Amino acid sequence: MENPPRDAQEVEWIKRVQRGEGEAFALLIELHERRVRALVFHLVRRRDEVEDIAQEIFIKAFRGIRSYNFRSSFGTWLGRIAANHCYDYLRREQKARVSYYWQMSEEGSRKLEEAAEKRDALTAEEEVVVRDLADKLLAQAPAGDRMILVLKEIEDQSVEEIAEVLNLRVNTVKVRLHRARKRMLQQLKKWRQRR
Amino acid sequence: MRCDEARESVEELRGDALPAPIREHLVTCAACAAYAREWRLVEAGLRALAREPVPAASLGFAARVVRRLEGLAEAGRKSEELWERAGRRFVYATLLLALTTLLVLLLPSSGPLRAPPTTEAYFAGLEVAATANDPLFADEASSDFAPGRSGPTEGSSAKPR
Repeated sequence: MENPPRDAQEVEWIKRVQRGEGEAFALLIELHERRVRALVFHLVRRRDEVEDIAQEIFIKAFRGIRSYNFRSSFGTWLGRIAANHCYDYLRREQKARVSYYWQMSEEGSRKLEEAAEKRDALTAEEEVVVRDLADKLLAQAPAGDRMILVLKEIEDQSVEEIAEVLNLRVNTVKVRLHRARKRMLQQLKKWRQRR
Repeated sequence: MRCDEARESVEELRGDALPAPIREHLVTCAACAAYAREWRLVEAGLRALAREPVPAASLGFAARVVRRLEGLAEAGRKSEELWERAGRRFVYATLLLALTTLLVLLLPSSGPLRAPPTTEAYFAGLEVAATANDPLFADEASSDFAPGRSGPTEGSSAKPR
């Protein structure tokens, strides 16, 4: 039976916290901190707010840990709390400003698209431009779209994992993902038409 | 092949060569070809975002969270104690009030602070009426021996016994 020591140890820590041993929670934080920070950063895109938001997520997790019933992995359960917390944050967030992409000439943006299409390695400057473009498109996307796009495209989670975190069916995730991508491209088209 | 099928495949087949039916569709459908180009651009941006370094874990993050939790627990305990104290005082005050009310209702009618009951007042009234003209029980207000007076005054017909 496969039972990696780390999982057994994590289970033991969780049970200790559920019994009221608060100091065991520090061990769980150290185990999952990096992943939570990454998710918060990719969703929120503000370096100076990552620490505070991550703290709030762990505090919520501590308060609700007695409700954790070991049916999903602790990381997934924690990811769900993080996703919900960031979702509430994103709904309050303001829209982003203009992107570097629009400062490029027509020729420049065409070359960029060709390079991206061929999956050629982008130059450092091109990388900054496309990253900024994607950042701004994500920033203006509705919170639900942003959530699902970040989990899939940036966190590289499978559709099944996303379904578990967001408590949705797999088919629902697929449909929502496709719609989110489509809306993002519609926004890109609108910006282009205004250019 | 339908356009929505082709576009979904373009989105999903990241890094993989597109199958022939999809490539053929993109050649014949300008709208889907444009969609594919735009998606590749955005996809490149999303991949670039994924490569961006995540803010490093600050030293002592876990300890800070645990300290904050302890602080919140302490604040919660103090709040509970305050309510408990207020609750106890309220209960004591209510008991005292109930006891006082009970005493007022149950205590006998006699006593320095209690007015005489109706029957006693009646007989007291009769006694006053009966002794009103009796010189022995004359109004003390008109007596020579009223408090403050030293002796019989001139012209007074009342004589001490």
